[in-house]
Amino acid sequence: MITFEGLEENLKFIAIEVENQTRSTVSFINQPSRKLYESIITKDDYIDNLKTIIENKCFSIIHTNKELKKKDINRIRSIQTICVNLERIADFCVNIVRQMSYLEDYRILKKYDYDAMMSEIQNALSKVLPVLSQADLTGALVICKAEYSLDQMYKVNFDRIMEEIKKGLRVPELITILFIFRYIERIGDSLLNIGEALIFSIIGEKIKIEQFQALQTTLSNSGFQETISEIDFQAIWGTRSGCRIGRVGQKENGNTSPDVYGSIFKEGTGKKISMEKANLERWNQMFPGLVAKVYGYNEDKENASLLVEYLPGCTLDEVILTTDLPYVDNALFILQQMLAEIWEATSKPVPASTNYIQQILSRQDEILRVHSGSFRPASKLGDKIIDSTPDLLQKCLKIESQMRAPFTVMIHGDFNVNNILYDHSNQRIHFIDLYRSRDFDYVKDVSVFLISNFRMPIFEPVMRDRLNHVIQSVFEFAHDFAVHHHDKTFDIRMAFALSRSFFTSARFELNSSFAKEMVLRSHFLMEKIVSQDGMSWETFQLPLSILFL
Amino acid sequence: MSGDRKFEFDSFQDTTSIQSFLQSLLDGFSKGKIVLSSDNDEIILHPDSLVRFCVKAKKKDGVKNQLGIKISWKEPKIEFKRPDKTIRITS
Repeated sequence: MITFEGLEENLKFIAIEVENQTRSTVSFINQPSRKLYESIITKDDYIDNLKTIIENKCFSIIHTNKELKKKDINRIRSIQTICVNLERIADFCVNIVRQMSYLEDYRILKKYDYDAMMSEIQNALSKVLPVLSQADLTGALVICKAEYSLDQMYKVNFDRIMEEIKKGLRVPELITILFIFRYIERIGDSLLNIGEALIFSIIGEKIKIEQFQALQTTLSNSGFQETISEIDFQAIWGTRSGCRIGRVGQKENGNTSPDVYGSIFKEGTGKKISMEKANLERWNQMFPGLVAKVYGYNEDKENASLLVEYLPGCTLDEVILTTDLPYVDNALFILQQMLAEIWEATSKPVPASTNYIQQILSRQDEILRVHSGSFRPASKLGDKIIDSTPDLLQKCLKIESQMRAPFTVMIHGDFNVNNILYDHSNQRIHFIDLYRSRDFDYVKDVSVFLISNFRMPIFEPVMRDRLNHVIQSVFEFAHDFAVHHHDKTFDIRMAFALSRSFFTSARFELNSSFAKEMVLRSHFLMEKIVSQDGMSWETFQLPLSILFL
Repeated sequence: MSGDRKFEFDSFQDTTSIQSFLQSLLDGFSKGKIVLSSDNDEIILHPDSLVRFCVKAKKKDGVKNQLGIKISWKEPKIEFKRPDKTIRITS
């Protein structure tokens, strides 16, 4: 293992100093003295300086040494996080010591069990350096788990102090004691950060301890016998929907079932993950191979985790942005064939209401948080009345409530361009991230797909032409499908769906002028819809230039 | 693309004479063609079906008044074919 001389030495010092600082804190609680107080405060300055030195070295090594391997960079990042959290622990010690001066009689604290908590802290701190130098995953997990134990102990003390406060005696002192325990508990939070940084340094992946445990359980439920350190956990992509996805691959030549190795691990809220599982099973039944197979599933009180097949291929956005046009066209052709097959096979002639405008309303707070000016007020230009955004939304909501999609199909539900995989060698398309799949209006998927291309913040003319080409191709395909299936309200439903996709996409775009462009396009479509009110929906023509930048 | 081209006209008008200019622009929008020419140059604009329309008004110290109207659009590059005949290919 590579070592960074000087840096590792500094880390050793700060770790030892912080461990000492916790010992001195216990001594001070047991028997406060002016001398010890001053010594703790002085040590804290020294620890602060050490932290600055280590941070400077970390950044400077990463900045100046271009040949560092990813593993080395991970180790440096991990050292930096460890040292920041060590310094924070030292600060908490100072906070505890300062709180002691508010106690009329320090001996009152002896009635409470701070000793057990402080021993837990010292035990975890003593493991930091050995775990880092031996890349000891189990040791890292022990450090993480200290936070859990500290929380439990804090709860016991907290409840006791609260009961005593209710009695109304010595309340100011009890509050001080509560503060002291709170600082001790917060040391646990820093220890957890340190443990997670150690895991990151060892496995090269940022993973929360709960996710790590979920991965272990899911792997063992799926019949995986090896220890967790046999697994090479590598993130391949993250999603915006709050799920973390990583690929579980084989670290070295192992002889375990290949299925488990070539798999993806997902962890998230129980509802979302269980929906995804049910949807994957439904898709697999109808279109084998289109989506990943489910290998394992595990669920606890709030969260669930899923181990699914790793599908080969690139996401379609990668294909669009990085390959030659014939490959893009080929991928689009296969995608359109697949969609036609799915839509034909799953079509149910049951008219269905849609909720495009409602989706803007339910996301309005999120949109306004990012772009506070995206809702316009009512105004007048001469005699011309301009509706406010809320009024326009209400008018459209009313119109939409009268509309029905003529049939439903099984939709992807989040048909973003990066939720589609293209496997060039097998000439196949795969769908991923399917927790929103259901029977619904196919226009929803089409609109989400089109705008996921439109909203890419790419303005260079050649690449923008490429995106426009993709948008045009898929729109023409969907329009064609509508014509052939006598879907006469396709255009107006598309206007609703696009106004929804344009508006809600603004919350992902920090470039305010591009976000505004999308919000204005959404308003334009809604005004078009309102102007059609009272006329036949079938005569509505979507202004196609809205799709292209 | 033949590079950037510009047309500029600056003048004083009264509330009657200005109407003929605004009407001329309105006619241009309804025909889908606005021709702007001077001795040196000529610009022909074809407003697209999607134009950005921005109005800004300002009243400064109750003395200076300003009404800015900006209309902009991008040259359309995509020609969309709405299918008019029904050819169906199934595999």
